[in-house]
Amino acid sequence: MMRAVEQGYLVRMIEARATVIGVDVPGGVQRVEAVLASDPLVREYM
Amino acid sequence: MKTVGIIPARMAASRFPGKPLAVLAGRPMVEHVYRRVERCPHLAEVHLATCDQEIYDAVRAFGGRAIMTANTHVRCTDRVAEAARSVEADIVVNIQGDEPLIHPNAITQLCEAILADPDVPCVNLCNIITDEADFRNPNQIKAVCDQAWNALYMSRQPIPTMKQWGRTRVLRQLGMVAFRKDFLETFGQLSPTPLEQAESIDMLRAIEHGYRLRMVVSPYESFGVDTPEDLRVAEGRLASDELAAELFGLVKK
Repeated sequence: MMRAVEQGYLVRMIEARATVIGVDVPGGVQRVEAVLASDPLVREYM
Repeated sequence: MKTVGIIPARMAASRFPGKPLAVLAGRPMVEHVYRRVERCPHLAEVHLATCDQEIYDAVRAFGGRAIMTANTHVRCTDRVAEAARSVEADIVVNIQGDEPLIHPNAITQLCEAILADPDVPCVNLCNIITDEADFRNPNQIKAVCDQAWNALYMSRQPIPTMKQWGRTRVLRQLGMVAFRKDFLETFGQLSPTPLEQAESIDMLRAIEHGYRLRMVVSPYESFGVDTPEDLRVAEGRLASDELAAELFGLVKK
């Protein structure tokens, strides 16, 4: 996003209310798996 | 368009009490700054703004103009804003009193930049950091800007990323800022902002309130005096400075 900022465009930030977990390393998958187990949205599509 | 320079100064600097009147090559440091920036042809007048009678008297003693201001200002820009109210001007250049090697051409650059673009409310001088110790030094303020040279942020931390040192241009903000006088008045009335207070950097107030702050790169070296040791270094540099020689006959033959 620095490309937009440096070209003078406005990048508006909003604070996320939900928990966001990014998977960056293989170990991250396990962490997400545990959270997904109790995530109601998962049951809607799986 | 009338342009004036205002140098804010106070005795109570936390790291170096009495700094503005510290003697450098036989003259108070503020006199060096005053005499040097007076050489900028854009400045109709130079004033020193202070809350200390001692500084006021010293400036009058060397024939300079001085304005007394309140002793309640936390930021030097607020002191300059107060002083500017009693001066007739269209553009006001805030000039730090602790840069005794300031070159008048650097002030000219600022004046030309603000005169060239009526949409820009203020222009701040910077130069390029080439020493990694300066990049890491919290006394040196780093700035990052967009492709049009508008400042995005300033920090006492090393920005942008440390990982690219040597491959990325790093800018040092200098304490020289040209303001349209009406914007300086506005600035003085804006509430101090969280990042301004966290970093202790005046100009973040303008950025955080959404004003455009244009940066201009000076090819001149800068040397800010923060400590008594710095004063000795500045003295060494002045000994070979051509402008100092012209003004005060300081160069050793």
